[in-house]
Amino acid sequence: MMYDAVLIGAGPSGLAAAARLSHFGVRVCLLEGHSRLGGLSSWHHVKGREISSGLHAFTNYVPGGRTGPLGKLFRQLRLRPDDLDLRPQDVSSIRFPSASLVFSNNTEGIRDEVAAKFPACIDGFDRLRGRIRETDEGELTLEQSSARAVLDEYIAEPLLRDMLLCPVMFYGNPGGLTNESAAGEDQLDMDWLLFCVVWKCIFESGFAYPACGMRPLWQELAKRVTDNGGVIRLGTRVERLVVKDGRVVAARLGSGEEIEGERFFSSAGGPETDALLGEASIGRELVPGEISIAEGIRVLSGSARDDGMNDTCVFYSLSDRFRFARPDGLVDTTSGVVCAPGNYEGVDEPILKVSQLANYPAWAELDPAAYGEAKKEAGAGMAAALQKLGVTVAASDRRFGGFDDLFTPVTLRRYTGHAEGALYGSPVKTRTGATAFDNLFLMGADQGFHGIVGAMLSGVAMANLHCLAKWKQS
Amino acid sequence: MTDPEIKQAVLDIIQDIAGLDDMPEIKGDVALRDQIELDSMDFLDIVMELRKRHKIEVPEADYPKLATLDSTVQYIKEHQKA
Repeated sequence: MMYDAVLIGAGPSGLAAAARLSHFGVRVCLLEGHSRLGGLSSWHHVKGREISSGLHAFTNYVPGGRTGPLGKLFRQLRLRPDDLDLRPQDVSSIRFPSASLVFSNNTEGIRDEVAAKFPACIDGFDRLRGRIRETDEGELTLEQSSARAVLDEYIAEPLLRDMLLCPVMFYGNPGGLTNESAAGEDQLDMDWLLFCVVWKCIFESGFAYPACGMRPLWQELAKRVTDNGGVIRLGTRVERLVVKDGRVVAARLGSGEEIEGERFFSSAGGPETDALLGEASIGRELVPGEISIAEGIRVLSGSARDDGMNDTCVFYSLSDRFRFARPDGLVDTTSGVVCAPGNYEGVDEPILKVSQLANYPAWAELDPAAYGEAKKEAGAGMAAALQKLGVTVAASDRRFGGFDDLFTPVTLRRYTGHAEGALYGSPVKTRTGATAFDNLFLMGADQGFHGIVGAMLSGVAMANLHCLAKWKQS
Repeated sequence: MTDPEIKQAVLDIIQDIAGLDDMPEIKGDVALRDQIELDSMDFLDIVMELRKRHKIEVPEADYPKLATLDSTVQYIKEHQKA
């Protein structure tokens, strides 16, 4: 069987691409190493309760779902807003020792907060916002440039700069870019274009949460693929992309079976896809992403508000100087994101999630006994950080220092296949998705769009650009 | 297809792409993109749906001829296979 398109990875980008391609009669085969759909946005069970893995916020939310990136995604995939049953957030906050900023789905809320708390910076903030709004993130060719440099230009107060960077970096910075601060120290920077994309996700639209998690959407997309004659194979890891006469001709599985195709779309990541090619190369710089996280999950007996967690998401730093980098130790407890899905309107998910930056190599070298102990210590560290935010977590009553489940960069590596458990892929993005092979394309994180909506749009855009634009139905 | 059938087929495609439960009244002689939330990607989808559903090929040079509902109906009428 020769497929028109073979897709690697049934995460948001692969499922969206496969659904879109098969809708127009393209014969697709979607291959996924894990036994479940969803990639980084899958689901798992904790204490008998289904949890949407890794999900804090479904971003780009606009009521009705007709405009912006979310509207575009819905139209391209022929989805109705009801298919997701998105529930809006209440309020979220950025909390630093010397100041807090509250924001909500009312996009002027953040401006009011900045005007009230940093009145000297409001003019610069308005101009910065104008510049972000004018930036076209659909531009596929822009070179990387420094977001910190732009922020320095508009925002005089270092504390406000760091506070605005905190959620944006946590929700989309793959690392890689550094910039020397005025104090002469290296600090992790972020690509300006990527900064704009993530900023718009957080501050120019809203946060929402699908009432029943992501699973119904993934199953709906998978059903459409198979209804349209496509094939989805779970638990099927690609071991090698077979190259012949300068073209990729097949995906070889662990069993030795070869899946032949006209064109190949990979959401495995740039360096990971390169490794699948063996001697051949995708033809771009290979830099593994260094940003990964540990996340603790605590099942609550009541509402998160009972424990002092009143916001939907809290982006915190325990120091006024926000540090975003791979930590030296296992976990950096000094900053992070806390999320209470139950604080979305009408969502019945009584859990608390805490994400902190973590160091993949440090976790990977632990032997099993030490790894188990380290998870307990990491959980206790998360609980201690939460106490400082006024959120009560009894550290003694759960398996992992206050948490019922805790995943690490090693867990991310195992279930997503991304090198070093990289959360946002490699710092090197290829916005056109093109590689050295004219029938092999990247989609997902290393194509350059982040978040669930971004990754799905990436799959749609790559399917359009590299297949449907030239597609002739036989 | 008769003119009313063609018109309904085009409206069905637009309704499916836009994800609308109820179609607003579409004026035949006003640009579609001024009446409904559709961008250039969505316009490509109208072309692809015409091909998928009605086997009508629209070469890229003819895309401007699909600007309004009336012009789209006229175009399909002229190009549909007998």
